Amino acid sequence: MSALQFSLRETPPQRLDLSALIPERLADLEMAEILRLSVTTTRQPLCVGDVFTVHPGRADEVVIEGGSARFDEVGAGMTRGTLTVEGEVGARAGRGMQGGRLLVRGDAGVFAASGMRGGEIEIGGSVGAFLAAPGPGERLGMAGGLVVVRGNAGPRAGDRLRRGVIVIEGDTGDEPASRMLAGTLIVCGRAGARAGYLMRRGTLVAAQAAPLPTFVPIGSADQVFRTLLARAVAAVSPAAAELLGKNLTRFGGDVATLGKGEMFIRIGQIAATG
Amino acid sequence: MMVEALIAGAPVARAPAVAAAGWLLGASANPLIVAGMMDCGAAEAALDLARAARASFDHENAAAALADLDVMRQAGWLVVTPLEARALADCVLLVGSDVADFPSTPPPLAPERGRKVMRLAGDNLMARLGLLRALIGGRAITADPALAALAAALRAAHFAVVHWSAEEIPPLAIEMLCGMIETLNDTTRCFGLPQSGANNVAGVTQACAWKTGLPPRVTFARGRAEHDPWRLDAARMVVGGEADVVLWIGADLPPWAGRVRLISLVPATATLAPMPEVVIFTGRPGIDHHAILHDPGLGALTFQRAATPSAEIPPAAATLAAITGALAGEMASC
Repeated sequence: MSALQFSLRETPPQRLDLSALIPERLADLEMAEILRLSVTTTRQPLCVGDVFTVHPGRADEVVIEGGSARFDEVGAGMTRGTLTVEGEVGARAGRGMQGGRLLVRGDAGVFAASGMRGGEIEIGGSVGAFLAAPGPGERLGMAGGLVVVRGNAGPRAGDRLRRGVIVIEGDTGDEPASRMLAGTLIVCGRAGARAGYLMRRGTLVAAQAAPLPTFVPIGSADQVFRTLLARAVAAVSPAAAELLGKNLTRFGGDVATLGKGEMFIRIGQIAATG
Repeated sequence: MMVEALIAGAPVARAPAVAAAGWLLGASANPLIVAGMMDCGAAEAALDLARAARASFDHENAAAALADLDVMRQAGWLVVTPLEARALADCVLLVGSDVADFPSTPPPLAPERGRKVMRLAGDNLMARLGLLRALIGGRAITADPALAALAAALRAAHFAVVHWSAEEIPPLAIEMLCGMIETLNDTTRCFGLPQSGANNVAGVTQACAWKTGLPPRVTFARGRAEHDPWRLDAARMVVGGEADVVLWIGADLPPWAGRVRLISLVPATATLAPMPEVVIFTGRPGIDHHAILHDPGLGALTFQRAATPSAEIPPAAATLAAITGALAGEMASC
């Protein structure tokens, strides 16, 4: 049996809350119930059937055809199965995700993977600000799982990262790994200004970066650690594995705070202080 | 006789303009209420209207208020009121160029200590704040002598105060300062003094909290109060075509006025270009009518008596309550 498919009929008239379209929510629903699921974010009622044509299929494999920057909360709270979006999505994709796999073939908006605790997210395009960051009023960012972004990331990627691995194959905006508590952020391109600002612990690897003056050189990268990390990410990102195989130099920081974070930068790609 | 209101630029009495505003909000798919300058009474009335209309609510200066609030709710902070700072501070660090000079006269409650006022501004401010915190934390790190002198002065103070404006420095810089203040409190006393934003945003934030339990950028669209600083950013919603009718309350029109159907509650002094669909003239808080406003000099809500009371121009709160009444009729007839 094929996947359960939602085909977008036209540009959504409002931002949509698509948090209901996840395998565990759809598993026990009849088609009529699926069509009546609310996706509204305004006072105008809007149901799945108003915006999507639904093709029956296995609920543990959900496909949304035709993306939109107005698709919010795609895969939010997901615990199992797979969810594929054949296009772009809006804010908070994979927010609070605990398991399963979310694949977005286009770009994603702000706060993707925010509060994520498990599972895998792959973004085929670029992602907005605050990737894996805590939501408003929350104290912790991503606390587990794997995120791979094939394009670039906006500012504050990996903010308050607590656990898990993030790979960004392009560049990042300013302050990647800000306030990082633990976990690993790999930037295969250029890390934006003030990387690791207020970083307490954790690991940031970047092909290019300008370390802050509160990051101090602490020798070359440990070969065993790099080999293990490269092996762990090779299957999902050959570019990240290749970066980890290069000559890297190691900085410790941010000594403005606890200072137990590590930043690895490819030798020869260390720019002036950020 | 003074003009009370305008519909499509033509003078009308207040009642039909209120009815037109109620009709526009009632017919809207996604209404939005935005505060420019408003007193706390108007904020309460605006939130009542937002709840009745299932609209969203934002304040034009909410970004700065949320920058401070993010640090408070995500990292914690130690702050004092401006009065305490003036009474007790023997060392004041002004961060950035926006915050006004602080009086260098000795603190009245501890005059024997004198008062040292310093300023840290200019390029690479965020990096230098990190260096300052590292120095205060006792890290062996290379920094220019000026920063080392600042760190020494803060450590030596009995009651230091660090003053900033969230309209100038980003939340990460504020969090860096608040962490530095925490470190200083291991050995002495030191507190933050955030400069409150313009247009009574601090007062509106408090009113929003006591009405909804949440800070501004709230929506009642789905029948309950929801807070989302990104999705409910008024300027973003208007530019993105997500709000179709906006009710604006302010001293003048917002920069995005021409991009949406607009109902404006403004004083007669406002420049009306582009002309909103409906304009209802309202009094200026603390000038034409009494008002509760946040006093940045005291760091508290205060009653401000009307400077030139005018019975002819109603306050925004009264007009908003009248629109809520008109809206009730519109919603009932749907």
